[in-house]
Amino acid sequence: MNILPIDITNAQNGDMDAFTRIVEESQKPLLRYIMRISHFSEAQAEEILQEIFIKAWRYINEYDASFAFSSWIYRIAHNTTISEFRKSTARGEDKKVNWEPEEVEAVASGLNLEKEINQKQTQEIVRHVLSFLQEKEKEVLILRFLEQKTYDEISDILQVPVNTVATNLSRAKKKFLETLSRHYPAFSPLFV
Amino acid sequence: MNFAERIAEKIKKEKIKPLSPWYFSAKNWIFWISFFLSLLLGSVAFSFLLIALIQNEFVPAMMILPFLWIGTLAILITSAWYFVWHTKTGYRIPSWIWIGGNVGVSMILGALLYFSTFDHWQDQMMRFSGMKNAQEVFWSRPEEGFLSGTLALENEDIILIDKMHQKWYLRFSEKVQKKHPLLLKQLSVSKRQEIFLPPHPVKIQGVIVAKDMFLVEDMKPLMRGKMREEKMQFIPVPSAKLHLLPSNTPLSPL
Repeated sequence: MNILPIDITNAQNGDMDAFTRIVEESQKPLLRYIMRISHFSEAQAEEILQEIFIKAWRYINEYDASFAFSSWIYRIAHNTTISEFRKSTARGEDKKVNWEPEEVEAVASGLNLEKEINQKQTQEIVRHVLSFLQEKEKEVLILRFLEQKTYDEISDILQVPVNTVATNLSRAKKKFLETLSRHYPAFSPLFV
Repeated sequence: MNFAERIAEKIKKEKIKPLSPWYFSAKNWIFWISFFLSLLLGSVAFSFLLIALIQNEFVPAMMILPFLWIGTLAILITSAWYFVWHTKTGYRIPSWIWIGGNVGVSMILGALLYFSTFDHWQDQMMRFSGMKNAQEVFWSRPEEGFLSGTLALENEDIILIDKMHQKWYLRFSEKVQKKHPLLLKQLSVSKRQEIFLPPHPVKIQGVIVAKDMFLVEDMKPLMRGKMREEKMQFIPVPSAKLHLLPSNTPLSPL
């Protein structure tokens, strides 16, 4: 996401062309992020993305240059998606993790599991184990290992202290390994 | 028409306008101001808690007050945390630091309020809540060492007239001489042959040493929150005696 500061300033002054450039630049990573933290299909995710950009336009003057713009727009994306995700899970829709193999690889790599991750079976296991993690744990793993965000950026996106980010990440890793050893005892030695 | 153009089209069609920067600025200020107000009110609640704990602990009707103020303080601390959490950067500092810091600051400010400028407000609150009567009841138990009333003169002796109009001849112990030298200076300006009596009711802690005679161990205004005698008001009374006695001096009734 490479958004020019001048486009942000112009968009804050009501320049729709500048805002359109911001949308073009950020739509792909945000769409991917929506799909990663939810179970939504691409069509559903696009609808949510549209809602996110309309909110971003409405709240564009809330953005403060002391933050990274990407953190600000990720925060809107996160809050909107989670809100929609909760509504849909309350309706009893499926909660399974629909990640691409390379996404599973990225998380597994972050958890130092890359040695075995190329095997298809292992990817399935990682995907299954991830489905046991809580929302908070999963989202911090996604932001760290898939979106490549720093602790400070994650803190700004999730609006929690940096220490909490570190704690949640550490807890997520621990829980991942515990779940793995509980459900796949034969595999756990491979990941340690 | 690509996705970005569709968004632009929708925004134009629905005439969606960005909210003014003032809106966000004002929102941020409102949260900060609310935070500081909650902090300040929390401090006031803490000083009321001190009053309830220190001054009215033996009055049964007042036993509930500390809990009321603790509850108020807890609500104000929670709301201060809520407000600061909604400022632009409030989330960056962990909640326990906000809450702990808030409790600490409320206690320090509350204690400062209690020990410095709280007299007036306390009087008002006591009158408002009917605590004056409770205070009088509490300080009308001479046999238990608590006495209240108005100071006066009788035959050059300082006396106290309690709410039952009973006269008490006062003797001032060594303890009160040490504790409140300024009070005694005000009460006893022997060189000029006059003393200064507070016109408002006072409360006295001490002991009955003889019939109608009370040995004063401590004295302060009845409706005042603290014992700074320089805050007591005095009026000059000519030609009076002040009996300053060591606390172990044997006394006989007048």
